[in-house]
Amino acid sequence: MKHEDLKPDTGVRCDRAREILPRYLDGELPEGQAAALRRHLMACPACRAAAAEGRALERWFVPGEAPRVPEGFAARVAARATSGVSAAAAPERATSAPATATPATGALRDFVLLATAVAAAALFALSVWLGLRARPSGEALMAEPLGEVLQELEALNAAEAEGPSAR
Amino acid sequence: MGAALTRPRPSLPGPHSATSRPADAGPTDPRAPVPPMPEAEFDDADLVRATLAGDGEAFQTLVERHQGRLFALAAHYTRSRAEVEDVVQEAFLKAYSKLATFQLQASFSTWLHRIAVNTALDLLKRHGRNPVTAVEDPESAARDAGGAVAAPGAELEREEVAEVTRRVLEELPEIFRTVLVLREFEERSYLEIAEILDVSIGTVESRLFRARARFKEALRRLFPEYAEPRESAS
Repeated sequence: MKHEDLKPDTGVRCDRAREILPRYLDGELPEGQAAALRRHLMACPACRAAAAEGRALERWFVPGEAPRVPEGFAARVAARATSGVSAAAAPERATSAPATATPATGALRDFVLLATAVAAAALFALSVWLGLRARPSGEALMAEPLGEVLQELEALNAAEAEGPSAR
Repeated sequence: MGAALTRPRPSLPGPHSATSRPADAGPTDPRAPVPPMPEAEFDDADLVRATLAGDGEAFQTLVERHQGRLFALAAHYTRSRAEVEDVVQEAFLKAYSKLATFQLQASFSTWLHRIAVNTALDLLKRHGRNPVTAVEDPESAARDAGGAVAAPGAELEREEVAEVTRRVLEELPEIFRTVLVLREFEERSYLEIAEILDVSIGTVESRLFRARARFKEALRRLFPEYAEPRESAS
């Protein structure tokens, strides 16, 4: 019997049967096709032998003795995961949540914030004091120009008092 | 099962969720006891939600639920018990760190197996084992070397059959070993295998076909006594 032989009683050719046989043996074939293939296998000794060979191979896949899970394995893994021993082993949401903050880390954070604020205030006060110390006062800023104007005015008055001949 | 699972799960994020208390905190309100609920009532998605909300015991329950299958899976890649444990532990830690990316409507088991398979393959690469894929394109491997193999005889004990199979599998490129392990031992569907390996179902089918042919060839070569030479049925 050749694979190309058409099985008029089943509607499935041998080449097609061989193609879908693995899916059938794996239970992955839709029931409609599986029923047609079963009818073909009933009528075709060659394809039936191929199916038997596939089933024989499956019998080699027997699981060996299951490896023993060490006692306390789950607890150790969970503890390691949740304790943050490994930085990479923290859920993304958990790392961003404040649930991991402890009272000790909270107090340290408050102290750092307070110290930063005090230092900033002191720095501001120092800069203001230094600025005021180096900058001339309002009077000083106005004295020199006013004196020069007055001197110029006095000179002009004196010149006028001396009369036109003086020009 | 930890004590935390005696209260309803999941503990969804909210103003009074675990985000505002230590992750290992006990029951939040002992004045309002809740009748214990059987563990089976919590599916994997519930436990994932609770873990993401900071419940460490929920993650431990997930580990307990899946550790057996992962140990069996990892044992197909190494004979060293220490390495098996390392692979499984690393897989769970990776899963924990990536838990927020898990789609709750998907299968946690399939997602976890994908991580475990990749972790096991990383182990093989680190140890420089099974470099066959570097010199041979598995997809173009011979479709069938011809000949057949008999089913294991009744004289073989179960453990003997398992050892023969194990030795044959060790001969195969990892790409074939993995698909056979997932199908024959894990009994995963084509769709699940496709999701675990991130390939199409057609690729799974094709790879399984070639993997079985390679398995038969290796079995005949390593254990010729199990060969069943005969004319092809075609």
